[in-house]
Amino acid sequence: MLKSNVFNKKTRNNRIKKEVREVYLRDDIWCGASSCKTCDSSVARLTASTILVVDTNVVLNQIDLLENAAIDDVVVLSVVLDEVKNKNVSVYNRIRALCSNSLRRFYVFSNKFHKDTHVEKMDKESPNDLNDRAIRVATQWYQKHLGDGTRVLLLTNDRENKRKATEEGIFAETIESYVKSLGLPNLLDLLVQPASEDVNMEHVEDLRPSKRKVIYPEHKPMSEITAGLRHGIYHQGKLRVNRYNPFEAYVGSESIGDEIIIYGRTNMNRAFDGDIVAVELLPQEQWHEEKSLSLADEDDENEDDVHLAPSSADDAPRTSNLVTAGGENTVPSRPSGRVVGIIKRNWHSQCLCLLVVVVLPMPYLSPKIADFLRFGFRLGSLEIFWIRGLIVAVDSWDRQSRYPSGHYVRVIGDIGDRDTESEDPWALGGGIPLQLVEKRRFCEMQGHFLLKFWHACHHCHGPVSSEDLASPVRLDLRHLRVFSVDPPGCKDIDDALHCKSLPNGNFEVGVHIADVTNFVHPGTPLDDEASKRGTSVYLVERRIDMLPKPLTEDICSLRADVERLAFSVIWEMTPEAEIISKRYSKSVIKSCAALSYVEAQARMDDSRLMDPVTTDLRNMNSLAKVMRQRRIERGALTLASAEVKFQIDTETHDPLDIAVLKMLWFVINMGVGSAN
Amino acid sequence: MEYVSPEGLRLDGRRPMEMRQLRAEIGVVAKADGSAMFEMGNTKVIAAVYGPREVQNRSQQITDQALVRCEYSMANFSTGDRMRKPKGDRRSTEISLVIRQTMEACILTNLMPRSQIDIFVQVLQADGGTRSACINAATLALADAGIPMRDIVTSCSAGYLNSTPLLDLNYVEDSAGGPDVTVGILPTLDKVTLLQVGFHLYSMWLQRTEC
Repeated sequence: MLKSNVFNKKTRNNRIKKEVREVYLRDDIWCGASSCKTCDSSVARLTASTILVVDTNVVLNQIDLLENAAIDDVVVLSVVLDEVKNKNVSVYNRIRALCSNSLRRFYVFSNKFHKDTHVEKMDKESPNDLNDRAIRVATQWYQKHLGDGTRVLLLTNDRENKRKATEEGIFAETIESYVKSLGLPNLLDLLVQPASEDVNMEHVEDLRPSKRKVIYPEHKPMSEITAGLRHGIYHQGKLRVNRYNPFEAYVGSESIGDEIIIYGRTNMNRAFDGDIVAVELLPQEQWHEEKSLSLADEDDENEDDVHLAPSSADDAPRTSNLVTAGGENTVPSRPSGRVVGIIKRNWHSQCLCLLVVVVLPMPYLSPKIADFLRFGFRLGSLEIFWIRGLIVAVDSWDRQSRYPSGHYVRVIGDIGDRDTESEDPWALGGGIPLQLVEKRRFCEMQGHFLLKFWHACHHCHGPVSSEDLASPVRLDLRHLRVFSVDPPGCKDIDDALHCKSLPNGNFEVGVHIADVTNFVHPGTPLDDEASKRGTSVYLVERRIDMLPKPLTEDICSLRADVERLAFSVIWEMTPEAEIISKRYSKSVIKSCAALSYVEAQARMDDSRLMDPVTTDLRNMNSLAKVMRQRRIERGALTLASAEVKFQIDTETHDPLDIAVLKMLWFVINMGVGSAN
Repeated sequence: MEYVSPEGLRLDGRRPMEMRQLRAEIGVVAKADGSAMFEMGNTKVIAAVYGPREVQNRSQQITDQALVRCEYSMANFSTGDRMRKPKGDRRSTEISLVIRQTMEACILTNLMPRSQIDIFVQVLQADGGTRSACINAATLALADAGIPMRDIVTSCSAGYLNSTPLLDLNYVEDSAGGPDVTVGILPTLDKVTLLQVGFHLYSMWLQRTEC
C-alpha cells in the first residue's frame, strides 16, 4: 500500500519547503512475540506474558532503568526511536545497543511502515499528539494481534496519553507504578523522579509534607529570556562556581565585559557549574551585600556538613569561606546579579553522571547519612551503609526542593573489609577521563578497578605473598644491594639496579624492572583500560595514570626497604664492560635506597664517601662510561629529551613557567637502555 | 544519517532490494506517433516520439541508417523549487545524449535509412532515478510508435549506502552522496546497453554487492 507523507521543512537558508515522501506500508513486519503463530518467529524476541510498550519520554528519562536486566520484553516503536534520536543521540545509541543486545528481549517494531499501525496526521494535530496516538494505535494493535494470552502494557508518564489510552481500552501505567508492582526495591532507585509538576500531588505530599514551600524563584520562559537578552536587561554567560565557596559563582558576560558575581543559592537559582545562564543585574545598592549574604548561607550550611557543591565537588577547606568573603568586602564591589533562567544545562546534555563521594570516618557515618539524604537524592531502599561512592544522575531541580533530585546509577565501590583499608581506594579515582564524552564508561571502569583492586588485596595480602616467594621461577634477590635512581620526588619507581664485584674481578650488574604483569593480567578490565590509555600522561597539576595509583605508586613501585616483585636481567661483565653471561628471571628484590639523580651524583662526587652503595654507583658509572664510549664509536645516536617541570603559582595554581631541568647524564639511563 | 534501519527498512519503508511502485501508460500524447508516461514512485516522466519521418536538416541525413535525436528537459515545476535554468544546461545535455545513445543501440536504424526519429522526454516530477525513468518511458513511447527495435530497454538505478546495496534510489537516498549506478539492459538479448556510475565505487563494495 502506498501512502504519501507530506510535510513542511525548513531548509538550510531558512526557507520553508514542502517535502513529499512516499511511505510504503507493509504486511511483512513481524510482531516479534514468540507466542504469535502468524508472524515469522525467527526474529521473535519477546517471550513473557506481559509485553511493555514504552513511550518516548520513558526512554529518554528512564534509560538507566531500561538498561537494568530486570526490565525485559519491551517493544520499542520506530516512532519512539525517531523521536529519541532527534532529542538525544546518546540515549538513542544506548537504546539501540539494548535492542541489538541478544541477551535482552527488546524488539523494535517499525510501526510507521506497518499497514495496520500507520497513522496519518489529522487536521490541527501537533507532532507530539500524533506520536502519542501512533504509540496508542500500535499498542492496541499488539493487544489485538496477540490476543488475550498476552498482556500488552503501555508505559507512559504523560497523564493525557495515559487517560486516552485507558479510554481506548489499553492497559496503561506510569513507569513508577509499574516498577513498584514488580516488587524489586533496587529498581526504584534507578527510577528518575519526575519533576513535581508532573506528578500527582497527593503522592508527593505523603512523602514530604513540610517541604511544599517554594524555595527558588521561577525560571523565566525562554522567549522572555531571548527578548531580555536582546534588550540588554539580561546577560548571558557560563556560570562558574567558586572552587572554595559553593555559594558564590561568577558569570562571565560579554555584554557587560566584566564578571557578574552571584551570591547565595537563591540567586544562583538551581544553576549548576558550567550551565549557560541568563543573569539579571541586581540594583546597585545590593551590590554590597556580599558579606551578610554569604554569612547567612554559611549558617544554614552549618547544619549539613556534607555539602553538595553544585560544582565539581572540589572539596576545599571550609574555613577559606569566611576569608574570601571578608576579603572581598573591602574591594569596591563588582556587579552582582541573580540567575533568571538557564539557557543550557550542563548536566543534561553531556555529563549525566555526578560523582557523589561520601567519604566519612566510620564513627560519624550514620548521622551524616541523614544529612546526605536531605540533599534530595531520594535513595529509597538503597543500602546506604555499604556505600562509599555512587554515581548519581541529576534529573531535575524543582522550585520547591532545596536540592536537586536525581537517581542513582550505580555504586562505584563499597567499604569492604575495614582492616585492609589502609589504602584510600579513592586514590584510584585520580585519573581524569581522556575523553570527556566517555565519562560514563570511565566511571564504570573505575568501578571495575576498585573491585579488581580489592580482590587483589584480599587474595594476595600485600604486594609480595608467600606463594611468590615459594615459586621456583622467582629468584630471591633480597640479599642483593639493589637501589634505584630517579628524578627527585618520583613515586612510581619502575626500575632499580645493582652492581656487585665478583671475586674474579668481574662485575655482576643487574637491572630490575617492576613486575606489573603479576598484578595486571592480560584481558582483564585493568589491562584493557591500560592499553587504551597507552601511557601515563603528565599534566600541570595532575597525572593521568595508565594504571591505578596504588599499583604504580605502591605495589609495583620499587621503593626503598620494601620487598617487591620484579623482573631482573643480570649480566656478568668484565671491568672493560664486556658481557660474559646474562640471565633473565622473575625475582623478589628489596631496594636499599631510592636515590634521586642529584643525590646519586653528589655521592659519587664526594670522595670521602666509601659506603657500599656509593662504591656500587661508581663501579656502575665507570662501566657505563665505557659502554657509552663504545656505543658512540659504533655510531649511536643520542636522543636528548628534555625533562620539563612546571613552576606553579602557589595561590592560583596557574602554571607560571616551564623550567627545563638540567639533563642529567647518568648511568641508569644507559643501564635501562641496554636492558631494554 | 541512517538510510537503512537495523530492521532492514529504508526511509520510505522499502527493503533494500525493493523497487518503488511502477506505473506506465501509453498513448498519452495524441499528436505524437508514440508516447508514454512512466512513473517510479514520485518520479513522473512523459515521453513522445515522432518519426520515422523525413530529415529536417538535410545536412544531417545519414544514407544507410536513421537519425535518432533526443531532447530531455525537466519541467520547471518538477522539483519543489522553481528551476533556475530551464533548458540546455549541462546535465540536460548529458542525459539527452545518454538516452539517445541507449535508444540508438536498440532501434534497428538500418531499416529506416535517410529518416529521422525524434524522442522528447520531459520530467514532470523528479524524485530520484529520473535517468532510468526517462529511458523506460522512451522505450515505451518508441514501442508505441511501432518503431522496429531489437529489444525493449529497461533501466533502473542502484546505490550503496550504510554498507547496504539499495535498489532504485529516491531523491533523499540519491542526494546522500553515496555511489550510484544506472543500468540499462536488453532483457531478452541479455545485454547491457547502459552503465553509468557516479561517485567512486570501490571494488570491495562491489564484491559485497554481488553476494
